[in-house]
Amino acid sequence: MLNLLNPSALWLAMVGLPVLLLFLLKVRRREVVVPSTLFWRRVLEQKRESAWWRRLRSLLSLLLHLLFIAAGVFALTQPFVLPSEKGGQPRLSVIIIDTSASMRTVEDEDKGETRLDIAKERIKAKVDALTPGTKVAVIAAGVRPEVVMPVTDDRASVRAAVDAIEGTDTGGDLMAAVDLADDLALANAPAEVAVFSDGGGVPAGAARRDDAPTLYYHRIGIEDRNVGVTAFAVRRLPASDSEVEMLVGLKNTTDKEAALELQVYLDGVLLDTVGVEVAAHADEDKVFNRTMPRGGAIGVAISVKSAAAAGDGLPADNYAYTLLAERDPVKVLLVSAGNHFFLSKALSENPSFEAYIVAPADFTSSAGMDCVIFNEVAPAKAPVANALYVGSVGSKIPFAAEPKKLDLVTVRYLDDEHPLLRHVELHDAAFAASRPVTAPEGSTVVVDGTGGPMLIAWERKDRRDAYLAFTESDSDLPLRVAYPNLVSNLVTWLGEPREEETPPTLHTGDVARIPVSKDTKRLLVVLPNGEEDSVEVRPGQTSVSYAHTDHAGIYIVTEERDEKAAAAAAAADATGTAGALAKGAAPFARRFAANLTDARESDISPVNELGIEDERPPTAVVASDLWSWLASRPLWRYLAIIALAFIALEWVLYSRRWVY
Amino acid sequence: MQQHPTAPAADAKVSDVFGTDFLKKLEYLAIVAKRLFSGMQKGERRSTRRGTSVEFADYRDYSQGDDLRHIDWNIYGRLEKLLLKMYEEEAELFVYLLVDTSRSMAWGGPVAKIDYAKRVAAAIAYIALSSQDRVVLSTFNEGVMEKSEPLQGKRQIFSVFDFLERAESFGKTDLGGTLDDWARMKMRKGIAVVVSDFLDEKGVEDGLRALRTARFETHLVHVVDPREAKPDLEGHVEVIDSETLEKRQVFVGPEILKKYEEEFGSFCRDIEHRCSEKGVGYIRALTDVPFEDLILRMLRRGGFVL
Repeated sequence: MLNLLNPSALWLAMVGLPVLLLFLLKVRRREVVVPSTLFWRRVLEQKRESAWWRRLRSLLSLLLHLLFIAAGVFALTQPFVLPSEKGGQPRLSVIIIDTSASMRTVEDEDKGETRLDIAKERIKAKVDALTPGTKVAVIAAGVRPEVVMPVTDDRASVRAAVDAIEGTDTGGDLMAAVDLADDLALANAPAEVAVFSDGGGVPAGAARRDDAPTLYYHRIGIEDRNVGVTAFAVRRLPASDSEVEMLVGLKNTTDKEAALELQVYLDGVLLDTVGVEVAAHADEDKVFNRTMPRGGAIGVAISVKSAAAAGDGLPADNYAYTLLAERDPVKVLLVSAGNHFFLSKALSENPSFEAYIVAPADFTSSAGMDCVIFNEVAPAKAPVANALYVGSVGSKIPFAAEPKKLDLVTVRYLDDEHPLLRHVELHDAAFAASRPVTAPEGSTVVVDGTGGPMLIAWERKDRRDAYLAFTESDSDLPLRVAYPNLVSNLVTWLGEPREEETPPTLHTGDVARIPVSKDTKRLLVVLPNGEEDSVEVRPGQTSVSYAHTDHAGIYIVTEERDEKAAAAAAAADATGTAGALAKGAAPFARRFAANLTDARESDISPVNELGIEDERPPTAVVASDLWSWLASRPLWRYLAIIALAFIALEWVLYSRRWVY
Repeated sequence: MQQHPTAPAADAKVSDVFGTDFLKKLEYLAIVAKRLFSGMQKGERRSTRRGTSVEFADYRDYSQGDDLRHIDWNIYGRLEKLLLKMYEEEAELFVYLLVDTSRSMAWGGPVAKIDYAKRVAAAIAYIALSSQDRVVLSTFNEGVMEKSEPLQGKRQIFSVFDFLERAESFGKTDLGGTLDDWARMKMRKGIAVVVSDFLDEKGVEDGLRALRTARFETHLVHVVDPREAKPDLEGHVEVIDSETLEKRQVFVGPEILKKYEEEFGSFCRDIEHRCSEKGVGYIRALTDVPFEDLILRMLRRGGFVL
């Protein structure tokens, strides 16, 4: 069926009328006086043409002019052929381009050409080959499908939109894109769906609607060798403040064992390098313990030691990132009236503590401290901070201790599970004396001795206190390893060290929930690739859902606050903390990490079938019949060439001036 | 500066066709002509007519009616044959200039063929007058239009100018009839110079025959306009014959133009060929060539006119 894209151009056929008129009207010849017509007569006699031949020549000239006009006007109408619907070309072609991480696989190392580049070129070639009049829509299939070009017949816009598509570090959900394409196709039947992908992202046995259009799967890529990071996690070891345990999941899809170099970074600075091997076609989890002096952004990167041994088609999955929370030191104040040599050493040598010491006479308040230790002294009034009382006797303390100590006490009971006794061995310790004390109701006797409770932990709703019944001079414990551990456990339990909440590490494409304060106007997000993004925060909003997490790496979020509220907050900060103890670090919660770490994406082998019902391999344009052939070609170009041929023929026959 | 004694008077009437420069050029041509013919009899031209002067020329057989006084009796005594002694006649040479004034001669530019023809005729007349020869001018188209009295002496050049200026271009060309009529007029024999474009469908054959029969030494000056030889026409045109007003529609293309040029060339060559056959002088005069160059060429070629 022949259709015209621009039927209004048919009006231009009126140009033929003046041409016809000029032909019918006799041409008024120029009169020229010559000395004699003698020679003209002789010449004309030689070239005598019959009248009918002259007429025919004239008619042929007119015919050529009219054919030129007809072909030109027809070309301007931009005719196109819509083939019959049976096996014919569709009116809408919905093109799905897979933008998942695996599409960033480098297929041609010399050119640096990725699967995405190949897919773009093939899409553009397909768009050019479509029947004029066939509309096109383009959907990018990342972790969420996105219509990058709505239904249009503007091929230039489609090409520009395809060129502008960028790869992501996310997994892909092809089936969601196919569903979206089916919805688009419903309003523009007959339609087709063309998927340009390396496969994946389709659940097994995925089914489409009954009236879904034909789906053509264009497989992109051949490279299948890759090594990548499929999992990454870091946690602090419970036994140590500085030691961390790292888990790195690795995948090797090559035929050979991959010798890899694993590099560990902290805030962009290389900390350590580890050599690891991953067997051929294997997924292996590697666990390492490493000393991490502080929290921060931890990154791992793998590189293949010998490129010849194993290929690495997808560089995007060679990196993973996570955040390790910072831990604030516990501020502890020691108020001591007796011996405190070992106690003060145990406090000052521990890097997790920030210890201060004052004489009982100088002690006024424990404000600003996380905990306070009263060594053989009792405060005049109950302290604000959580407190450890070491052999203290007094009416203002929450523990009722007797003035007279008991001699030669032995340990009768230990609560081994209690955190205060972690890594503390007391069975063979000798205690020369211990102060009898009564455990308050609700408190826990952690260590009980023959002379009564020796260590009481009392945890109430918003307060913790502990009582140690023996001093460092009453026992040989200070000479043992258990003593600094006990002191550390006590101070840690009492000081309740606040570890910044570590936001969970996301998968790329996941939605990040970013908490915001009530005076935040806007969030500024610096993406891993350096780009900046901003999110407006509505009044009263407590958190922001941020979905532009297509790139793997660390996202840095800063808040733009309302000026008045910010000034008030700053004033509160200045007064609320002691000058010497004030911290200037940026809020740790304003960073989050996103990783690809997707075993499906690291398996870059292109699949031969998507696994969707009724999918078909791509069909080449085959000139099975004339209509199909015409339907696949821009007819206006041929018509324009024909028009030019007519006018050129007329010129050659009637108007050409030969140069002798 | 003193005027040359042989130059025309300064106050003499001059026209557009024959301006002051024209007269100077004529004087120059006359001097050149004298120099070229200095090896011959000075100032005059020897006539081919046999007469009765003192210089013996030849013998011929006696025929009835001849003057008995011219019989060479010495010969008769030796050979017993009656032979008449012939003497060269010391005669004035008559130069007849026939200028075509038909309508076709008015064509051409920037110098019309008629004007060019007048200048050529005037130049030849001046040279002849300078040699003390007698000059007779005639104009013709379908017939002889006007004929001057024999003119002699250089000062008669103004009469030549007057005569030629009076001549206007009109009528058709009939070379055969006109020249035959002219040749039948009772005139002394001499040199006949026909200045024309010879555009006569009947050709020049009859005219030449008439002049030769009348024993005139004949020369043709064929005046041709360059655009006549190579027309600058293009496209659809209607050509009108300047003499007959006949119209012809023609589409002038490169092919037609080429054929026209071939036809015209063939026409010119045909006239030249016929002249050559009959011992008639012929020279082609393109109107874009200065007339003095043409006259010099005529003089240098030799055997022409003077």
